Amino acid sequence: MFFTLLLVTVAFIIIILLEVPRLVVQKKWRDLAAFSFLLLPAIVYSYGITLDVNLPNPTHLIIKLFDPLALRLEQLLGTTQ
Amino acid sequence: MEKEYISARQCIFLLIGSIIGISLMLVPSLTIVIAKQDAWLAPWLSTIPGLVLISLLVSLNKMYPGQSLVQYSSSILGLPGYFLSLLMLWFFLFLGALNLRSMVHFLTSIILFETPPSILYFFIILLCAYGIKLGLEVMARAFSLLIPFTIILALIIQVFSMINADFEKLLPILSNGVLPVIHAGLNFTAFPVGEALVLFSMIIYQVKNLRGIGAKLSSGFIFAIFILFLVIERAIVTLGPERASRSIYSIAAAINTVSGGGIILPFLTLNGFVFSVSELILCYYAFVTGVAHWAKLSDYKPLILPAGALFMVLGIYSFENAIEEATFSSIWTVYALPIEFGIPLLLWVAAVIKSRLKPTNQL
Repeated sequence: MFFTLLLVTVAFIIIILLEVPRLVVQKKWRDLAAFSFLLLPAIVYSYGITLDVNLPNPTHLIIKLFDPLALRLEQLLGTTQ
Repeated sequence: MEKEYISARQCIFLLIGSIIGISLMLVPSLTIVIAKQDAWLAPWLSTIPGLVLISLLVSLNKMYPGQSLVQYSSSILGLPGYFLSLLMLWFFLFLGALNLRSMVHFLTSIILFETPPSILYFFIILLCAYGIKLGLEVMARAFSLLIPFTIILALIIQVFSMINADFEKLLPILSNGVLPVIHAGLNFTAFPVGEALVLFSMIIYQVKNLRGIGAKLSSGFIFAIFILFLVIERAIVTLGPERASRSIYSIAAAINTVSGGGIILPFLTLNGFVFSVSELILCYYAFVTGVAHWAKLSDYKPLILPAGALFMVLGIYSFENAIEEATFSSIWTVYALPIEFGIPLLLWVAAVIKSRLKPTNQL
């Protein structure tokens, strides 16, 4: 696990080093905001996966929301397996 | 953001590649498990909604030339349009993550048994990120070289695996009624057709010569449907509906029944890889450019790497086990159909009403 944590950290440091200094020099604050908005969930989830923390899973939300509808469709078309 | 242009021919190849996509591997079993030996009818059922979606996207593009779906949804609907395009961006992200996951699953279960999945995730995303960094023009040129070869290869594989074909297995036709075929057709409309076509709402505005683009895209679409029809039919006549519905990758199972089929397996993998990368790379591109349009950025390039990390993380985390993944295909239909068809339809209706109201206001 230590090795994975190290690799994840190195990967994110590389991503930040590649993009952030250029954006700061060119004063593109909007781009920087969008960049961090995308990077932040990626960081949270990758450490969450490595450390086995239970984070909200978007798939579970979709399953919970749409499962009744899917069942209804199967009943309607008579293809319940 | 600097404009990039692709030709209509390149756009057709991208369309063919992304419709066939990962569904080349997954669609046979998913349709056969519902419609049994009539599954080959499902692709043809989905041509009508597919053509309607193409005409919607082309007509929207005519009304708002040079704009992507994310841009014109806000110029048509205003503030609610921003939320709609946010939903669309989420759809691209999740679609790409699922595509990536299916690709890795295919690779680890067919050839690279002992490779850790995260290595595969990483290198596939790295490849796509590099392609997107080079731009749409380069990607389109690369795929217009690769896709024709891959289609020829797919046809060669088709001929090889038809050695054991038994066309009796297609009978009896429609023995369970029409409803299972309609269900399979709905699933087919949601899984390869709608999701791939809706990606082109972010691509069409960059086609250079827009004359006759609708007809050209439709012919490419019908061709892709024909290839998928061949794949499904092959799984039925070589394996039979029962066995094909039980195997996850019936295309590989069909090859394994032929003696010496192991030689074709690497070609099959190459084939599947090119098709599914073309879909994944379009998801990635649509997401990244969509976010850049949504936030009104000058360039999408700074977003490539964090978006790649997001795709990878979501791909790994989206499912906990294979059973969850298998049951998700029935939920995907009801989840994806409203987004794939509903949003373009809503935007089109709103745009038509808006353009009708305008002249009356001036009078």
